[in-house]
This record gives sequence, structure tokens and C-alpha cells, in this order.
Amino acid sequence: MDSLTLTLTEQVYLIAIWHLKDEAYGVKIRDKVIAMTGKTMVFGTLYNNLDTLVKKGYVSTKKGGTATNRGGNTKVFYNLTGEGKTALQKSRKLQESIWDSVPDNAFI
Amino acid sequence: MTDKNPKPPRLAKWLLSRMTKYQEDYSIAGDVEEVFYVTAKEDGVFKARLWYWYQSLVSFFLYFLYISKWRLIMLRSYMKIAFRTYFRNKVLTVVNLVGLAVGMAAFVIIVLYVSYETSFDRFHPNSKNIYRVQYKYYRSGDLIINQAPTVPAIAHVLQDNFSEVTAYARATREFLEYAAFSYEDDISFRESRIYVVSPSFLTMFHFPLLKGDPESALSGPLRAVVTESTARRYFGNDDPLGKVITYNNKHGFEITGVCQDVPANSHFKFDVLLSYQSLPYTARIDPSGEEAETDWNWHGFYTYIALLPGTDPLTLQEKLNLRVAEIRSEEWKKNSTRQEFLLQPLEAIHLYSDLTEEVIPDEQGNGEAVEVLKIIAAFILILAWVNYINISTSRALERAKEVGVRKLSGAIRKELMRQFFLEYMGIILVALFLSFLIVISVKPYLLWLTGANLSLVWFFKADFWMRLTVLFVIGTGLVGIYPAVIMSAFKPAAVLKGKLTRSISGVRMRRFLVALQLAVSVALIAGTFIVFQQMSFLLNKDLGIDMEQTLVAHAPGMNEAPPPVWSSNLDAFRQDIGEYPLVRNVTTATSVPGQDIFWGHYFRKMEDDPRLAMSMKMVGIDDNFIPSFGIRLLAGRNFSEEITADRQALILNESALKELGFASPEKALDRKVIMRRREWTVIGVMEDYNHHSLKARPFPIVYLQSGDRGFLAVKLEMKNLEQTLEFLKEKWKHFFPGIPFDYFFLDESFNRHYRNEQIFRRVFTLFTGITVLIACMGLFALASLNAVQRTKEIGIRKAMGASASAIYSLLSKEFLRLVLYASVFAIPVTYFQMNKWLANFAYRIRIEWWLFVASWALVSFIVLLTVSLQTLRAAGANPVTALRHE
Repeated sequence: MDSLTLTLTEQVYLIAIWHLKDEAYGVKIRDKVIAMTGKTMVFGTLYNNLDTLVKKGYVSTKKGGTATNRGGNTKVFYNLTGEGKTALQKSRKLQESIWDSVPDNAFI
Repeated sequence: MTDKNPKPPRLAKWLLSRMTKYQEDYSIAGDVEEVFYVTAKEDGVFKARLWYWYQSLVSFFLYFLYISKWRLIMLRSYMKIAFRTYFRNKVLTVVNLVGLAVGMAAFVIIVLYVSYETSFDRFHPNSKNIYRVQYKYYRSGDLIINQAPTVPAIAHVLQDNFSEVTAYARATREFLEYAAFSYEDDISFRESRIYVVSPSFLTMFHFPLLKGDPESALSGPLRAVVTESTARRYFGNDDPLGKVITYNNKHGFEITGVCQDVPANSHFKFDVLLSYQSLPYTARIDPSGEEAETDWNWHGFYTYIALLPGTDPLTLQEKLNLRVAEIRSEEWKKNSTRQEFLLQPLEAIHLYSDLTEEVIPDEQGNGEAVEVLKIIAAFILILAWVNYINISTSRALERAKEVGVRKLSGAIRKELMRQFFLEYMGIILVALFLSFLIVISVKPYLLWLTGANLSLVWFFKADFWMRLTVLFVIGTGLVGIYPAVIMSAFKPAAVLKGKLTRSISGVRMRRFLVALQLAVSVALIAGTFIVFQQMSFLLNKDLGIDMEQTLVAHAPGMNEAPPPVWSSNLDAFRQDIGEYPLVRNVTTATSVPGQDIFWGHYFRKMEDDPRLAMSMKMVGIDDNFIPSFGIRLLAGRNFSEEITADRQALILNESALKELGFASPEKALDRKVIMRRREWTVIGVMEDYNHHSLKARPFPIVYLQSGDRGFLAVKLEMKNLEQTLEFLKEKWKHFFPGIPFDYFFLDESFNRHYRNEQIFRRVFTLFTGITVLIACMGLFALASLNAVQRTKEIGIRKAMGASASAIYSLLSKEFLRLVLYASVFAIPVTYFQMNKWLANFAYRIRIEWWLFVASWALVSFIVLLTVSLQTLRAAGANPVTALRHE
């Protein structure tokens, strides 16, 4: 698996989780991602993406407490794993190296 | 509106809670609910609920796509592994595929055949409630007649006394043996499938009329209903209705109906039906036709009755015989006779009726044979499946490590089961596909194999295939699940530590299954021996008559040439060919061995009461008949042309002698017998020969000299056959211009009586072969597994000095023991079943003990051969490689 580099969507999600630190659970992540991209989304999309990240090993999950306003369901918190962090770093480097050679006004 | 306490919609919530395949259950439902409360507070409950619905529906759709994607990825990986496994064990895969495909194909073919045989007469909508009246006649307590046609009077007794009898129908072919019809001078045919039937025949049975009215078509004299193809023979494409065909140059019959051709699976087949009131025109009876309604002795009428649904035929039969006894008791007492009438279910006639004078004796099926085939079909399918299970589970050890690793890396049992199930189903589906290819490609040979045109009847029946498909889907499902369960059950710790070598119960199970296969093989091979022995016994038994090198021609009918010309021409023809050097003998007769005898009359000793007269078959012969066929005379002499008194003389066969009540052949000589109110002198007694086939005992026949000549039998020297035939044709053309010379060889036509048995032999042998083949495949797999499992043991034994041959016998002994157990189980079952089959024959072989020894030996030999392939390799292997095994 050469692609330790991430897709843009994956980067957005991972960065959102990094921002939220200990507060990264479903509702908050969705809000954050919406804030970052300016596009709304349904929870199905959110969880599909989160689940893929878990399966790829970039994030780990941890069960938190329940709250009355959740219909008795637990919160699940997401955390970046080491792999996730490395992948983010690599992606950032790659992106910066790509954009470095391009002057700021190149496409105006 | 309860703004304070909004609730998410329940159905949508449930939908969200179903999405459990994500890493953590329910958190999505919780998240959506959390936002729902916020939304409810800010934008109102209605909007929140709408939003909730939207979230859950779209999420569910996305979830579904997501899950499917992962499933597909898993499926791809399963398939990759499956293909690797298939290719790693190429031989086993092929054995598995072929075994399954051939087994299932064989099953389908047998089922096709069995369905055909059991479908007889079921096309009549009311077939379940129709019965045929069987006739039994006893004299002084002995059963003398047991036959299908019965007396006409019984129909009225049934109709008048029992309300549960809703209708009756009669059919007879009495006096129709020389039926020929002509139409407009130049078209004429001999008809052999012709019956006089009561009008109800067309309404009781389902022989739909294409033209004409079934209710009235056969009421009134001189009316005929013909089948479609018969109509085409006479009238081409013209409308047959109202046309008149002439019966034996005497009476014109009006065509009042055209009926569909009779389906192949009808026990009653006809080309022409004549109305019942025509009987006085075709038979030598009183013009009133009274005899054909009320006679108690003329047993020539197939009588069918329809009963109310739910009637118990046995009760009715009992009541009927009581009633008959009331009517007939005086008569019976006078002659010390008794009559009995039994009811045969219409649907059972084809397979289970074995009476004298069946409608078409040669086509009668054999219920026992069909039962045997059903058992074989079940066995073949089970064996094929068992084999599959055996071979699949025998691979379990190879796969055990894979299972262990998969389990350790988190696979749950359900997933493993799914993986293995898919892997097994792959093979099964390919095999299923192959088996249908096989069935379709052998379709053209099914007619040869079974003698029945199965394709017409069954190939396009949807429900037949539906049922078959359901059976296969369920069966193969089970067959696929079993090894999947076994394989997924391994404990990873044990496997990876190398602890698991073999589970004892699994080995026992497999051994039991192989023993079962061997038992079936032994049984079928023994069965095949018995079938073959019985057949060659029948074909080679001395019939008391010499039928070899005999050519038989249908003599021209009297209506085909004016009688005086016909008679003198026939004599001249006989004279001419008799002088040809390669013709040994020429004889004419009204019937030859193997052909039905339609002619018959009442006979009695002169001193007996006229009412004691017995109906017996008659054959008209000339003085060449007895020498020509090499029939032995027990007493008296042959007919002689020179003695004019012989025109009033008879020769009896042994059975007729007994039936008339003569004490011995010698005592019958020169005694008088009454027939047609005239006196006939007995001049000779002939040894019984088998006129029909060895399936039935000889029956009474009376021979007399007759001007009627249905057949011309010519005994030939076998050399220069072509030339002789050419000569005969030439002469025939000379004396009988325009009449076709249709001939057959007597022994061939006689052996046609064994058609059903020959089909049975063919089918039985073929499927025995297939069963044994499948069993061998299973054995092969087991032997290879056995050799692999015992690699180390063999290595050690060899290292300690055991020779290759000692190892070989060690490994083979186990299988030979299995064969022995299997034989002990199989032999009594075979003995019992084959005895039942043999009971159908009047002349049968005894089942010899050595047959079973031979089958046991043969199976042992096959087993050794199969096993050797694997065992020899194991025995010959270098112990070093074996011990380095791990």
C-alpha cells in the first residue's frame, strides 16, 4: 500500500477530528466538517467515511457515556492513531511540494 | 403539539438502529437524535421530524451501498481463495465436478422415465375414479380364466344395483381380427387398433373430439370415430365428417367424429372406434345385439366404470360379488363353476396389471422395475451428494490452518461459514449447469434408452422442472452447508499448535458414507447380474417351437382380392416358392407364435352340458404347420390334406386338453368335441409351446384346418438370404400385384415381447455403471486422504523395515473390510428386491449364491484398483521425505 497519502475528504475528516481533540464524536465532527467545507451532509455519509477511516486504521474509537438527549445511545469518540498522524504529515508534505513550484498568481 | 417533549419518528428511528454494521452500534441513532432535539427547539418539531426522516432514509440508502461495497470486496477475496483451492487440487475438483454432474444428470433422466411410466392414463380428468372390471372364472375351484376383458352382463349389474357407479363403458375387439376399411376403391388399410365401444366411452375418457359431438357420435349403428392421423390416411385433408368407409367390403360406416391421436401414455390405444350397435354387423351374433348386453359367458369386453368420488372400490367389489352370486348361484351350482369380478384402478393398469389379454400386452409396464429404478435414482443422487461431502470434508485438514489464521485475525464463524459455503456452492452450481448440459445433450438417446418418447411428454412441463429445481436447490444447499459447518468449527489454538490431526467422528462418518456407497454398488452389481441372467434365460429357453430362420408375411386379406382368385393364387404361390431350393417349408396359419390370437369359440366335450362350454383360442393351420415349427405331438397325428374327414378334426394343445377335462392325451383321441353346434373329432394332442412369451404360461389353444390365412410362414436356408428374398418378392408381385409384401422374421418379432425387459436391462446396467463410477470417485478421494494422513506412520514403518508390499496391504485392508461389511448389508436387500422382480415371470431363474460372491469379488477388485493408485504411491515413497513432513 503505497498510498499513505490521503484523499481530500479523508484529510478534512482527520483534521476535523484533530481539531476537536477529546470532543470528537458524531455530531461535533459533522458540525466541524460542515464548517470547514461549507457543505452540509447527512449522517449516513459521515459514518460511511468514518467507518472507512477506522477500517484503514487512521482513527481509533472509544465508547463514551450516554446522555438523555441521545435516546440512550452511547457517544463514540474518535481519535487519531499514529498511522493517521503520519498519513496526515505525508499528505501535507506532498501537497506543499506540489504547490511550491506554482506561483500564487499562476491561474489568475 | 408537545413542544416540550418532542419524539423522533419511531419508524425512522428503527431504521437508523438497523445500521449495526458500522464499527459501533447505535451511535448514529444517538447522534441524529441529539441534533433532532436541537433542531426541534430552534425550528419546531415538525421541521425536526422532517429532518429526522430525511436523515434516516438517506443514511440508510448510503449505508446499504456502503455495506454492499464491503461485501463485494469480501466476495472477491473468497472467490480468489476458492479458485486457488480448486486449482491446487485439480484432480479432486474434476472428480467432484464430474461425480456431481453425472449423478444429477442420471437422476434427472431416471426421474423423466419414471414420471413417464407413472403418468399412464392420468390425463383423464376423472382417472382416479375410473376402474376396470377384471374377470376371474373358476371351475371346480380351479382358477381357469384371469383376464382383462369381462362379460357384458356385469356392466348392467353394476349400473342397476349400485348408485355409486355413475357410468360404464365397454370396448371389445371380438371378431375384428381381420378388419380392413376401404374408401373410394383405391384407398384401403388393414386396421389392428380397432374397437367396438359403447357411446359412453368418449364421455368417460378424455379422448377429445376435434370434430363431431362426443355425446352422440357413437350412438346408432354403423358409425365410426377415427383418430386424426387415421382420418388423414383415408381422406387426406378433406373433411372426414359424413364420409363413408367400407368395412371388409361389406358394410359402410359413417365417420361421425374425429378424435385427437391417443397419447403415448394411454394403456388403451386405438385408431378406429365403431359404435356398439354395429356389433351385429361385425360379429357373428344375433342381429338384436342382445348377447353383447346380457351374456354371462362371452368374456370379450373391456369394461370400465366411473365411481362417485370417495367410493371405496373394495367395498363395492365385495357388494358386487355378493350380488352376482345371488343372480348366478343356480347356474354355478349346475356346472360347478364360479365367476368373480375385481376392480382395477385405471391408473394402476399400465404398471401393475398382468392379466391375460391386456389391451396391448407388449406395452404393459413393470411396476417392480419402476420401483427398482426409483430406488436407483434416489441412490445415485444421494451417492453423488455424499461423495461431494466426503471429498469436501476430506480437504478439511489442508484448510485447517487457513481457518485458524482467519479466526485469529478476527474472522467470526459466520463469516467463515459464508466463505466455505460460497466456495462449495461454486462447484455445485457448475455441476448443476453441467448436469443440465448432459441431460440436454443425451436427449436424442433417451428414446433408445427408455423406448418412450419422454421429450414429448415431459421436456416442456414447467411444474416438473420446478419441482426438480426446488429439490436440487434444497439438496445442494444442505450439501454445501454441511462441510461449511465442519470446516468453520475448528478451534484456532488447536489448529495452529498442530494438535488437530483428525476428528474421530468425522472419519467415522466418512467411512460410514463410503460403506453405504459400496453397499449400493454391491447391490446394483448383483442386481445387474440377475437381470442379465434372467434375460438370457428368457431369450435362450427352449420354447417348444423352432422359430429360427422363419420369415413371416402378412397374407393378403380376402377383401384385397376376390376370394376364389385369392385362394387359388395363394395356393399357386405356395406351390411355386415351395419348390425353390432355399425354401425348406411353407405354411399358412391364422396366427404365428408371438402374434395375438383373436379367433376363439366355445368348446365342450360332446357328453358335457352345453352350458359348460369353454371359450378357447383357435388357430387355423395347414398340414405343414406342425413340422415347420417342429412342434412335438404327444399323441395322435398331424392334419393331412388327403383325408377329407380332417376338415372336421381338431388338434388340441395340452392346456386345452386339461381344460376340456380329458384324462390323458391318448384318451382324448377320436373323442368328439362340440363347437358351433357341430361335432369335431380330436385327432392329435400337441405339446404346449409358448405362443406369446415366457412372461406368461401357455394357454389353451385348439388347432383346426382352415381356409382363413392371416400369415404365411416360410422356413428358409440362411445362405443367400438376399437372393431368396428377391425371389419371394418377385413371386409375390406376380400373384398379388399391387399388394405390398410386408414381412418380418419370427424370432425377432417374438423377442419384441421382451421389449420392456430389454429396456429395463439397458437402463439398469447403465445406471449401475454410473453408481459404481460415483462410488469409485468417493473411494478415490478417501484413499488419497488416508494416504496423506498416514504419511508419517508409513514413513516410520518403512524406516523400521516394513516392505512396500506390507504397507500396501496395510492400507488396502481397511477398504476391503469396508467392502465386506457393505456386502453383508447389501446382499439380503438385493435378494429380496430381485426376487420380487423375478416373480413377474412365469419362467424365471433361481438366484444363485455365487452371484453374490461374484459381485462382492468384483467390487473388491474395483476398490483395490481405485485405492491402489493412491496407496502404491504412499507405499513406495521414501521414508525420509515422509518424516521430514513438518
